[in-house]
Amino acid sequence: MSLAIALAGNPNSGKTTLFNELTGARQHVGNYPGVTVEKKQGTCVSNAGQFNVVDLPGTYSLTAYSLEEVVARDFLVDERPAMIVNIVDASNLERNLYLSVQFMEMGVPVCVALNMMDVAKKRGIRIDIEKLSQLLNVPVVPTIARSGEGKKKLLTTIAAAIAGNKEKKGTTLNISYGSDIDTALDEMEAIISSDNFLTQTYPARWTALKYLEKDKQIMEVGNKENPGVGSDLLSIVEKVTRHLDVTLDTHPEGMIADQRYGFINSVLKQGVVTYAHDRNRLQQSDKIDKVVTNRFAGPVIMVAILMGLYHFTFTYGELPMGWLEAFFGWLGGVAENALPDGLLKSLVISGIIDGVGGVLGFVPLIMFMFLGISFLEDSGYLARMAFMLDRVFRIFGLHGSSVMAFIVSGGIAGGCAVPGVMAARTLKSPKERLATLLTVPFMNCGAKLPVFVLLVAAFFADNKAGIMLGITLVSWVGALLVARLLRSTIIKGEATPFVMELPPYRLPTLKGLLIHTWERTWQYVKKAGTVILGISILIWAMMTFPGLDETRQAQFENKRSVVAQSVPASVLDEIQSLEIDGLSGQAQTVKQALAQIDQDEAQAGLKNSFAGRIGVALEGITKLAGFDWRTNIALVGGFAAKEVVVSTLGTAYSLGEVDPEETASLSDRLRTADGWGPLTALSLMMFTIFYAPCFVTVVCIAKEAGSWKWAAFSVVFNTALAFGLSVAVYQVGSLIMS
Amino acid sequence: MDNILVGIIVAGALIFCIRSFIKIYRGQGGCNCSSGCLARERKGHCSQNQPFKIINK
Repeated sequence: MSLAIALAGNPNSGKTTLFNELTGARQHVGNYPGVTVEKKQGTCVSNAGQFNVVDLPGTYSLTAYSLEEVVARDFLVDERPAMIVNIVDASNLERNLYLSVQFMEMGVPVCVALNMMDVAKKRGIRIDIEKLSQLLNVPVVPTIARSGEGKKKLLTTIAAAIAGNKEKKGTTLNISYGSDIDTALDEMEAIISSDNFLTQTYPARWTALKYLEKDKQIMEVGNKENPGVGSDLLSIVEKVTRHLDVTLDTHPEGMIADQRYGFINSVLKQGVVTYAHDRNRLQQSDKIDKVVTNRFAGPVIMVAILMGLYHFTFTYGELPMGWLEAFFGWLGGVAENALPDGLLKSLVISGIIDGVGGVLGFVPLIMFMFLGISFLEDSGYLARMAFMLDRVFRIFGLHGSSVMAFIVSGGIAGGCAVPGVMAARTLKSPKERLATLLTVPFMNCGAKLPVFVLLVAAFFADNKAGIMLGITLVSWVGALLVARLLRSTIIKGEATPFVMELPPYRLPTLKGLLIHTWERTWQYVKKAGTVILGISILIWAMMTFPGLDETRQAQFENKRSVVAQSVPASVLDEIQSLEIDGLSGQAQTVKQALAQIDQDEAQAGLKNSFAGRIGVALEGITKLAGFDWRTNIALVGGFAAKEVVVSTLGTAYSLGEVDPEETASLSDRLRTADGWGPLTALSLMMFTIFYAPCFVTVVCIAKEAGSWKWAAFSVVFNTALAFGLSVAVYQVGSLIMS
Repeated sequence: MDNILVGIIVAGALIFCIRSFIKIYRGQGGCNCSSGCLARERKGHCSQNQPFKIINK
């Protein structure tokens, strides 16, 4: 007979790894929270018996705030598994035991799998397993899920515990939550028991506790079951809430959580955990945090660090970026000489080298920025940034957990909105989650970086770091204001409480920094070589076909003939045989006139192309923001992936360029192009920050929000907002400058 | 000959892009954080580590 067991634990505690190890499945192991929102099932056959294993979503608590918590709790209540295997991260025992305590409070049979023992050992943490088991009154088995160590013992212990539980009913943990709450709990428990209120499903004390924690799901079920009792319980909750507010300036949820942690600490301090070393580091971190996260000094330090990061990036990235640009210029020259005139040559030079090369040219800058960000992340500073921003987030109606989604999406620069959107899964409230989903795309992801870097390098060469800092701040302020707007209008709702764990500061290792930098840089290069290459080729085709009709071609040919016939044949021979510097005055004039005709023909062909027609059609509106038809094509292409803005501009300015000697970088071309200037660049940067998320992010938003309606909203609202802001920047800027 | 080659390259790019987008739409796209990681990524393909831990009380 198969025994039902459920794997439960905090996100990132190794649940899915253990599930794979036990069942032989190959579920994805996520390295950010929220990978398992639905429960997954598998079978484990061992000497200890046959088990039906269910992998529950990672949760921090059993109070139904988030989808994961609802899924996990409903399973425990409805399915009543023979054993909950609580996977606990041994290197973060205190935090992980918070969930264990709640299982014990619920009275369900629990076996603790003390996972990641190898990590704990490395950190110098020693755990007395027997003592922990004795104090918690549940079986505890050390495991290393990654290597499968402890698996057999775990299964044997589970089988034995299940057999033991058949004889004696599982015990419920009753913690004292302080005299005020304990009194209220006793009173509520008495009412619940006497009226048999939900007692078929939940233990009486646990139901009372959930009412005190303001668990909406339980309160709704309670109201359906017996509104009168529900109302009596609520009046007790209100009374104790008022009392705690007046006497201790706290609320029942906070008090209950504090007492649970108090219980855990009292267990751990009885010699369960000993530290071989490293305890001083925590104290040092506290000292540093007093300054770094100070209410006044903290933000100033944060801005200074960001400024330093951008300064570092541009100072050290510029030289190798120049080399790479020169390389692509040289490559274009080689292709120019090696390939015969025709479509293939145009595709290779304008579509591939100038398109993809434009994106790859920024690799050194991106690499230095990733190096800086990896340093901030590995040192522990990023967590402090999130901690400081949490205070601000609350003002704007976002949850503290949203900070992580924002930073992963590119809060500093260089992230990705897709994992950012997925990180929003950890948010408890659906409304806060939705507000986060809709605002994280405003962050400056790695794909937007080349656009900013291109424009900053072309038009703000004297103040690159300052402008990048400005872009970062504008994206944050914009995201927070939009969040406030959404939370005050279409997604109104209350904020939920949260606590963040700050890791101790540490000096990043060179190896770790290099690995992180390489991983991110490689992802950028890989994308340029696959998706961006494919899109660049398609955009080149759209910019090349259908080309000019025969009549228009004949018109340009006639113009050439008129110019050629106006001079003696010897001048034409001179033009073909000599470089421009060695030409006579008349020959130089003719050569320039012919070049101008070629240029006009190329421009006319580009404007008449499929993409050109789209760009020209949009120009009537977009000229308000200073965008010409070529920028329009780039921005439409940017919906596929934001890097495409750069590659499309590269192709557009390359196709419009007919001088084979011209190998200038895209920055140089934009700087000297008609209609471009610092104001246009600022307007375009504003549009890039706020306009529709890329296709992948839109799909992800639809999946995470559970509706295409919100994905469509994101596209339409963001683009309208971006356009409005760009027009404002361009028009106000034009007024000031005129 | 050149034109045929260009036709093949453009058709190849079109098929590649359509396939990539269909994969992304179905949630089967490879996870490399720049080309997008959806729910069914493969192990080790996403390096966006969670920079800090959050406790929900």
